[in-house]
Amino acid sequence: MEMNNNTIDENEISNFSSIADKWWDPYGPFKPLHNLNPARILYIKNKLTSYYNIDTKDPKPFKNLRILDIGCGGGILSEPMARLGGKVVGVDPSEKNIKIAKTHSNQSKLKIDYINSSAEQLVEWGEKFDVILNMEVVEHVSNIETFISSCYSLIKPGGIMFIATLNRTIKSYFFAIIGAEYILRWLPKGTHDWNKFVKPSELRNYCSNSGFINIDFRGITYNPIKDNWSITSDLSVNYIGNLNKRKL
Amino acid sequence: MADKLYADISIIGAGLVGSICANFAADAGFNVIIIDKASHKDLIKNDFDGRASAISFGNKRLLEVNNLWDEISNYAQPILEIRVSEEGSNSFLHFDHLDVGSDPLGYMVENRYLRKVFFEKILKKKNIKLLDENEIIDFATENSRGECFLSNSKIIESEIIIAADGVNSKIRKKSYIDVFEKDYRQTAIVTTVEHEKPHNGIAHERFREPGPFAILPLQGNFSSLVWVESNATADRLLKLNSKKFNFELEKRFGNFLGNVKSVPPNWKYRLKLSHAKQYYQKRVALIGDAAHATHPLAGQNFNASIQDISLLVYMLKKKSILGLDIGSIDTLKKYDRLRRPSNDRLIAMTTFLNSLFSTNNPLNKFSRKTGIALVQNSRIAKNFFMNYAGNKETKIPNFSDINIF
Repeated sequence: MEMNNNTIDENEISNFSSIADKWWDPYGPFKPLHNLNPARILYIKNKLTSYYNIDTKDPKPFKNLRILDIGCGGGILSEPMARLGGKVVGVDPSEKNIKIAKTHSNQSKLKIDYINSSAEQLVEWGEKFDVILNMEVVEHVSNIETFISSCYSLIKPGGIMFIATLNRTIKSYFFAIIGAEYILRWLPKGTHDWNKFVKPSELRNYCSNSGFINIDFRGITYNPIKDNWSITSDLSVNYIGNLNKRKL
Repeated sequence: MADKLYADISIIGAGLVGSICANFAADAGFNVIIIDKASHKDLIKNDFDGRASAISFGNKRLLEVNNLWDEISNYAQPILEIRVSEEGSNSFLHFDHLDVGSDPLGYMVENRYLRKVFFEKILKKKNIKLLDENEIIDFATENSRGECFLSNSKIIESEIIIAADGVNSKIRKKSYIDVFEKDYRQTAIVTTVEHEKPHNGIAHERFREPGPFAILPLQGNFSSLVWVESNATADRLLKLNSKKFNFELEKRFGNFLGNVKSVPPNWKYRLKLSHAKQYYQKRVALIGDAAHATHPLAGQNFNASIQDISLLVYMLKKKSILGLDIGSIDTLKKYDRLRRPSNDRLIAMTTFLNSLFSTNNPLNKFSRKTGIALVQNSRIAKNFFMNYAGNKETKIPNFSDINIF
């Protein structure tokens, strides 16, 4: 079978596959993602409940939403989405990640459709989603423009995409590469290639060129004293945003 | 084929602590299974538990906000004053509720009423399943689930197991959690005392050499007595006929409330300190006496337990609002980290006060004076006797209405 994986970077896949079994260890190599998770889920939940007019108290607020988690890894974002009622499809180019995600969701008694595939493949299959989660992915793909337009075709009209990534600034070099990989050892060395980081202005262009509207980016910032992440106006290192596909 | 049941949370032990926890967790929207080996009809029998509990004003507010207080208020005696003294001398500490406002310092409620009310609520809530007359034999915590194996071959699968199974917690032992233990070598005789004159809502804490002697106001002309003696003396006293027992009681009680007589039965509790070195294990959280049990001299262990429950349920709810795994180890670690300091302080203070008065050698007489002076530092003492810290610092969660937006 020939895979149409033109935006997937092979080196990146093997990078993540080698530590895949550690996905669910909150103190393991993916600790930063576990730490980041509550803040980004809160951002997503806030946005989705207000956008779709859902009661925030509903224990299954996403029950009418079909959600695609691109680069789902071991499923640490897919599972919360499914617990909140979403019909979740998780894709990841690493077969090992998908195996781990499947095993874990079975243990958690959650129904999630994990596929070892790519956004491009799903486009070919004609899949459509209400929500696309594109979290900490664009800095790992080989061709952002193509990737973003694939995402665009996967969204239903009026649907919403979330995107989170790292800015390419001096500060992000120190924080995400030197700080997170070398000093704090949060991330394995080589997790990120700073040159592939994307400035918000660049990402905004890619997104609007693909047809996305209502592009809104916020900073997502680590507070070393509280040891947590929150949504801020500082986009200099990590940032998160949401954007829409126009309604028909 | 074993019968398998599923819940978000399984609670082991349906005593006061377990049943409050079940109510809070259910209000927070969780599906709860609560397990106890006794039948619930026994658990709410009048003669199942002869103790009374002091409930701090802050915890009363917590119960009130979460609809557990209304029915209890019919049985609750407000504590308006606390007088702490050394036997044979004047009181060295005195708290009057009027000094801090118009609210009582706390409330005394007999445990049998607390049990009854908490159980009535449990039976009414659709998302709580009570499995009484079920004993847990073992449990497993593999694969990000907790599984409890019951004696009748039922299996309960849940995201987290909350152990509210008391000072000798089986769950704690089977989790290989070490405890710091100390035998106080004392026995508490607990009984209700009827007296001629009204108590005016005053609680008395008298320190005697063999141990503290607490007279705690109940409704009407009744008080709950926690009378601590050496094990040998207590055993001897409890063998006396009621006439002789009342004679011994009066000797220590005094006649400031007129004639007194004990209302049987008398209860006996051996006192020991037990503090779990960890309040958690994979998929397991310890609350109440399973985590910490200390000397009853200020009646604050139950208040500390209510704070355990409140914090834990709040943390679990915050996780579930975001669709996160409620039983993950980071939550449990944080629960331990946040609860341990105040439980440490409670244990240190009770143990210190108990030992301060429990001996009569001259060196200790000296250090006792220093100790009393230390205790008279009103903030420490107030925090301790009134669980004041718990009253003020926390905003009170309403578990049916937690939102983090």
